Amino acid sequence: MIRVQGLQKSFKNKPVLTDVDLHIREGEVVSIIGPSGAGKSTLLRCINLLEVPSDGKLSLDNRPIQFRTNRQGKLSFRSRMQLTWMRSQVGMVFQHFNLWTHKTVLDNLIEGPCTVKKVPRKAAVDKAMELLKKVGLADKANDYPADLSGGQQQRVAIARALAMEPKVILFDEPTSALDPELVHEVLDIMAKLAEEGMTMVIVTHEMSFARRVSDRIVFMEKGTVKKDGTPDEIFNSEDPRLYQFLRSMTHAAG
Amino acid sequence: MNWDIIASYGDLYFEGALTTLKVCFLAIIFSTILGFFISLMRLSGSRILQGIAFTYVWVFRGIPLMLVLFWLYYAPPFHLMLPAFVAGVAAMSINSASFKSEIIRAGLMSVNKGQIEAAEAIGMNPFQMMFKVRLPQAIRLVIPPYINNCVIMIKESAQVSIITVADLMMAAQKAYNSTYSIAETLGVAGAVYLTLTSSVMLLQFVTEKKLRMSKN
Repeated sequence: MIRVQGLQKSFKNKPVLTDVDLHIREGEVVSIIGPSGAGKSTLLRCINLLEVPSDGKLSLDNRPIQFRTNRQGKLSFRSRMQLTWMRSQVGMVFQHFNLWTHKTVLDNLIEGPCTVKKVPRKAAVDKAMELLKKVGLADKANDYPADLSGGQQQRVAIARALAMEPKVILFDEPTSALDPELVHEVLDIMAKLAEEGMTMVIVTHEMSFARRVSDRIVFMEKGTVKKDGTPDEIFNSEDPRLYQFLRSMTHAAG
Repeated sequence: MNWDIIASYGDLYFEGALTTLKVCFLAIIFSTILGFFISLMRLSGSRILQGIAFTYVWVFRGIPLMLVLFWLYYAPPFHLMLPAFVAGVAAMSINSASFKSEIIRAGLMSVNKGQIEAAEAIGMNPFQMMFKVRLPQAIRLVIPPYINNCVIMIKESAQVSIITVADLMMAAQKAYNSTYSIAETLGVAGAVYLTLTSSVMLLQFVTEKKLRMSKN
């Protein structure tokens, strides 16, 4: 479904990603793990072009994702107009939720469908209420994000991504900004989505969650994919560096 | 104190206040629109647009309003003969747009990056992002300095009387010149200016309350 080929990204001549290949198939749950600074988030943000790759090819459902940059290395105005086709099909959940603070929970959920996909308001509201029920927050529909806990905000953010009926959702460290006791409520919803067959790409430090939910795990280090395999292959790997990384992660968690 | 003076010049004051209100209202609208586009030019990727916007702000923020008034009324470009009212509104709009563009630019720049990324990620195009997310958030940030600027504009509008616009200040001057009762004539004008500026401040209070982003 998503194909990344030869992806390169550097910030001011400092390489962050070098020659990354990744293929996400429909219905697959892929976790990306690795030490900080490995380029996990950058890779995820390159997929929907929040970061502009320096080089490489991207495609969604075999349709190439094309873009041009301006002199400052940002997306050109024309590309920003054109890329909406891809972005409306690729959902994103951020580490810091990024709910629109000037809108109520309900308005956060219907903004994308109404503005981007031109869904009639009534239908969007019905769908939004259904999604809020699914994440257990129907009673918060008229609250502002500032009135919710971190875990509740992240659940709303997941519902906002789902409201667009995306083909795939990218999760950028969705639980890293949460209090430890709120982590499980977000992970539970993500596990439920995985079970329902949603295609998901998850950058995470939650190793046991990644092991339990993923179909595949990608281990990244120093801007490249070091290992790509099933959870069993990754967690039983003989690779000394991977073993050391996993040990340090489980020690930190335990 | 002789308040009969005010009674006999009542119509003059009323007309003057109405003119001041019109000048300010139009100048605030035009300067806001102009200022918005200048701030967009300044924030754009094009160096030419950035340069134009920078030069505009540099020049018109740096020269007195009265100079622009004189220029547009007594020495207009292209030999346009502008009526005093039009010249007054135009000069005030041009002058104030330079300040407002900086206020609006500051507001647009201080919108949290995550808010904008969420809009991009959901598939909004640059226009939808501006009007659905960036502007509504910026408005909340710029209300205090923006209202501040509008209050200053209302007071500065007294200068249009110099190019013969029959505003409130001119009414007060006329009344003073024929009666020499300075306390009454200027006192009333001051009270009317204070009423105008107070109503703008009240507007700030109402909008800030209306636009708050939490139930608590």
